[in-house]
Amino acid sequence: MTMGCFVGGFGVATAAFPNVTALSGGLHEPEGSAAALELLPPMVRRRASALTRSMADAFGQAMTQAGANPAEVATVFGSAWGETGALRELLQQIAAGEAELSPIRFAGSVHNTASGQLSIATANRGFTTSLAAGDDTVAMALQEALGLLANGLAEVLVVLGDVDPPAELAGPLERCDSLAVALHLHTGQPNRPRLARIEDLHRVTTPWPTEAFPAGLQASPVFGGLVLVQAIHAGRTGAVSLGPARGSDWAIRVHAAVTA
Amino acid sequence: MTLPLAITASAACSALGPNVAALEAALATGRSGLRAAGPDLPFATFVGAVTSELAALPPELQPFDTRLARLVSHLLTAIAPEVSRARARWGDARVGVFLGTSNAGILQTEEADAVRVRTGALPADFDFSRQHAYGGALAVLRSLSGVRGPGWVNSTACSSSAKVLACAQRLIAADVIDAAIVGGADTLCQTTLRGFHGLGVLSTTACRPFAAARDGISIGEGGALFLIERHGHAQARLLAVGESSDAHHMSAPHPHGDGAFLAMQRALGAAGLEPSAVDHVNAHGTATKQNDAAEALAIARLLGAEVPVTSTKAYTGHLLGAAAGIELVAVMHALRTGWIPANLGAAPVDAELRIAVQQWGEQRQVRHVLSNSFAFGGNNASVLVGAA
Repeated sequence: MTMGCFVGGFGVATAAFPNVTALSGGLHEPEGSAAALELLPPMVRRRASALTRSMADAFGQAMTQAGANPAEVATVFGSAWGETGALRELLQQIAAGEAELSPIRFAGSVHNTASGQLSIATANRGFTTSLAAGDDTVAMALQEALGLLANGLAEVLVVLGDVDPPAELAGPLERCDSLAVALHLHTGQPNRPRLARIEDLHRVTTPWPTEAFPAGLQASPVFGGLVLVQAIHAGRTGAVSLGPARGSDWAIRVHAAVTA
Repeated sequence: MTLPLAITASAACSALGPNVAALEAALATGRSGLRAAGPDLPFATFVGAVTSELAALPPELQPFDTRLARLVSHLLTAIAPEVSRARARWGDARVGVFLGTSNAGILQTEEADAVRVRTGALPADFDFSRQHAYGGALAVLRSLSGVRGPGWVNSTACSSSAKVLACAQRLIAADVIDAAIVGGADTLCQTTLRGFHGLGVLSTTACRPFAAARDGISIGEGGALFLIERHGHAQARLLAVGESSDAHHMSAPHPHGDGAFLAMQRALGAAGLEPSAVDHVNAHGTATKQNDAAEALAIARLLGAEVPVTSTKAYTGHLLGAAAGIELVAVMHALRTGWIPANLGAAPVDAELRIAVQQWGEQRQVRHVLSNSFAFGGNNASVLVGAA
């Protein structure tokens, strides 16, 4: 069965390029977009991990562009590594022989930290989830979102992110630039933009070269999200590979801006 | 209305033993698997440790070798014949795989980091992507099972293995797949035990859910796997999963149980059932003062004060990301046999809780059971299961 949906908005946050406007490679300010929502309260933001902050930034951009209500939208968070910054701090505490770990760091070490913090910040009592699938994380987050839409939800926000894992634990091929990407997806609501249509999530046998992004971004497990955003923004039609540069065998078909 | 699905195979491993039969025997006799934690912890608590031997992975999967991966492999072996049948029936690409875990490979990472701190270098065989990361155990499950449908790890802390049931149900309803291997697994580790100790919610004895004198959680390890199919010879039926968010606090429940109420209400609504149809609740019941009080408020508000409620965490400990999985095995036992297990350690029950905590095992007619799981982040899931 071919499942598809419309893209109502997107957001990008990286250390080097904090939003879509600043990102090189042909991305421009989305037409008509307002300032992105700042979703996390200041104190929460100060204490939040880099991953949660960047996911919140991408989340706010996508919701602003889509004109959607963050208190009502279902959310799917995807990250291959999760909250590795909190993990590093907890490991340091264990190595120091501390019997009691920091409650804030411990509660912030779970994979669904961003999902939880943003549901609290937006007073959203609806659906949220947090998933991982290695280099297939982008594809599987989209699959979960498409499944939700096929089962009756009108709109879903997909938020993808990974930060550079701790140098003392990760190998050189696992080091990457931190990156978060968000995509607002909907079934055709009349009051939402239709920036593109995406459909036909499928396996491919041969990965193809992607645009010339910095190597650190290409190494991110969620790099495919950035490639997808770029294709949507550039108005391209065709299949987009959803993995990092080292490869994932999932792709999705993008159709340029739909107005009808 | 959600699509009812057949649960056609099940596997379990916990402190009670390496299989479903061991768990069911303990439920029938009221035997707890909780024991005092070992001397590697600088404080007293009880844990549910798996003492069964977990076989090594095959040589080609050695880079993925962790206790979690061995646990997943052990569980898959128990349902391998049914998985093979499902692959033949539906096709490899039409069988998905969804695993819930909270900790993933943190245990392996702790051990590797301890070596690094001591010697200056990680163990040569430590692999961050394949051992620490959430996708590692998933890759093992994929490789050993041979299924090629969509799949991921759901990691929403203690609701993880409830939500994977919903993932499978949605994709089967959407005709993306026809069957799925679903479940959860988690292992004991220092991060979890010291983390919950830091939160001040670990019990110093075996946990006593809903008891007046309850003083906290006992952490356990283990897991469960199931084969779920569009049609098939059912051991039980997955009717619906209700999902909600507290939107309240990262590590404390909504004090009135609003999110828990919503999850249970949504499960019943999705299945088209009235609250009166629920014959038994397998509660999240972690035995902290706050969690049990909030859950009891939600149960009483939605289902009334008569429906029998049991938390099985005093049998296995709290399996975190695998809790809903192991508790689904208990639910299926109740549906098949009519045996509602005793809530170990509940007596005397907290008189403030207006629910019917099951203080002893009892034979009843059991047609529909709600099984609750509530997690960090205010992430809630309630699984509604019906008799075969």
